[in-house]
Amino acid sequence: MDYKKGLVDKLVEKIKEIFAEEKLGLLIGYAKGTLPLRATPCLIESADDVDRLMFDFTCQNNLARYLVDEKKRGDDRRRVGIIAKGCDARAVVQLVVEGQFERENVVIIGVPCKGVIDPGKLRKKLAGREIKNFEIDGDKITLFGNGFELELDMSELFLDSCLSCRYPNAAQYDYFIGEPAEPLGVRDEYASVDEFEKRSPDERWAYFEKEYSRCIRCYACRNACPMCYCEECFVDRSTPQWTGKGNDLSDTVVFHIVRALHTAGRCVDCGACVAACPLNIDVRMLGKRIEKEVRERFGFTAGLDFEAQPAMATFNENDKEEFIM
Amino acid sequence: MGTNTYKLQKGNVGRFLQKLGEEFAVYTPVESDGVVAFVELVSGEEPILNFPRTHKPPKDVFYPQTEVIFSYDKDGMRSTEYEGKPIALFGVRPCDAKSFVLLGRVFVDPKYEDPYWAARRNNALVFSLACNDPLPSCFCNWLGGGPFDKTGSDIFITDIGDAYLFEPISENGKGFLSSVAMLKKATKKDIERAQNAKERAESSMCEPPKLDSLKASLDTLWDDALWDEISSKCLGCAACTYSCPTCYCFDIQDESRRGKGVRIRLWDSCMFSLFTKEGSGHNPRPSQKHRLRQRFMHKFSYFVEKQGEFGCVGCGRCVSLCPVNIDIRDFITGVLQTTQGRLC
Repeated sequence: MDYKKGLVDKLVEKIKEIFAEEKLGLLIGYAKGTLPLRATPCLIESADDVDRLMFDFTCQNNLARYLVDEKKRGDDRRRVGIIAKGCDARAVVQLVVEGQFERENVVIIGVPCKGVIDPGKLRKKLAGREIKNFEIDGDKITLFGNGFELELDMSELFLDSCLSCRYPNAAQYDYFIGEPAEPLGVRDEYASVDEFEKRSPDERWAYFEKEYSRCIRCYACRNACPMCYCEECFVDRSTPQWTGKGNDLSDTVVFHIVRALHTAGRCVDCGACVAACPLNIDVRMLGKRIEKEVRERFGFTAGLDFEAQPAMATFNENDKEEFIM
Repeated sequence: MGTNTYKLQKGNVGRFLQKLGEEFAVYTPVESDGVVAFVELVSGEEPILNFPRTHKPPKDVFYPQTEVIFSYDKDGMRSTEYEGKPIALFGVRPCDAKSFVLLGRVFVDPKYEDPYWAARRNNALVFSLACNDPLPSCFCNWLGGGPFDKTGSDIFITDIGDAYLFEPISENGKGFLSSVAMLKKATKKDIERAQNAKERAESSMCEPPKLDSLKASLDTLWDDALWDEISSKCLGCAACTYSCPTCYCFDIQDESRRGKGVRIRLWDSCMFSLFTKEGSGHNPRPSQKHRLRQRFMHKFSYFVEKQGEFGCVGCGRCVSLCPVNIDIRDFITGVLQTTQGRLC
């Protein structure tokens, strides 16, 4: 892993320049977190605070999500800089395509991403323990805690999204800092979806039942998602109410299915929802299946091109439509 | 720990729990799909007693996330208070045991007793289990607790290696322990081992900051810019409040269909945009800043005002589960630093 101090120094130095040149009102980036292997998003309004910035494999949040907050606050006229991994940049592009943020008000600062840590996988590996420190040696990571040491391949801790990511670098950017990263190398992006589809309907249902029955309706998945920006989410409708609000499985499943359908052709597979879930629920499977569908039918991948028409808001006579009776 | 302390070999825990199950509905930490939580032990299932801190607190045993409080149809209305066996919680960590005392102040107020919480809590036995290895994110000792704190326990258990020591704390605990024939008296040496474990655990935790002035400090910061800063990165999810052993806010909903229905109580979270949204559409806490301030002020100012102590037990779950690493310990030390020298 070559996230040596070099990249962070370069990042800080370059962003100081960009801050002044672009007359930024806000810069969205990452700072060191309070726990080992955790970064924290940081929103910087003054060039003096740029020294707090960092970037490495602990930066798992999708920062594009904060552009939506900015828009909701009504501050969308100030210029906003955003540090962007490949998936953050795709989310920014998709937000612009959907008319959620003005292109001229956002400055995309691409950084090379070599995969980010999935807190859920880390929790599973640690089985209740916590780490105090870690050491990186090439692709190996050693975790140190009270009376234990655990050596792992970094890839065992990366988000599944990272393991099949085709866009580790921003596809669209205004600045790029560092050397572009190579994709991690897992080529069959839809392998888990294809395997899942081979199961019987009962087995598939049993899987979703097992996953979603853990859901506590905390909405961390939805709130971490840059594409979940509805002014009022359907589960928050109260006049009249659309769904039950408890943790009854039927209501929980409605929430997850509707969310997956609503992000069809929009999801950039950043894995922010997976990373945010406190209960390690597989909230990605449905979305990945739908992403595959959109790609096969409409040849569309979200967040690559500012000029793209949203897949679900356009019609092409070549669209496959054999499913229409 | 004294002469009334008992000892149980680890190999006999299964038998002990079986015996306990004759009289009680026994809840212990159980693993399911990578998540460890307190669930009712079914015969033959293995409790995980060496797990440092369950992912979910045991709060939902007395206070389920969704609970029918009454049902109705054309023949009338029926209250649905808990009528099951008395509950035994086995293996509760000291922070979570203390949370029952704090929640008890809210739910069993002399003026307004909550019959649903009380029906489960009142006849329950809490077996708490000392923490021999506190986690790095644990901060119970900041809030007057500790890895061997006995607050809220009926029976206090210490892991001494090959066996557990059982010390009765409440009258109920005393009564129960003296009725179980399979327990042996602990020896002086056993008690010494427990004492050593206690000293080791306590000294492994960092020196806590003094929180005597925290409430007074917070009360001067109502309009401070610090709320803008922290809330700007808050996602507004309930990973913190739903994993918190002391958060208790709830919502009431009616679900009805064709002449019959139920009224349910369900957890609510001050982090949600619907929290305190009024029927008129007005919301006195319109932004995440207002809601986040509510969460911290409730724990460290309002709860102190009403109940005389902090509404946080320092379990560290919100620290480890917040998706954007908002760290309540960092918040506390930040507040103390900001106000240093400003208070008289």
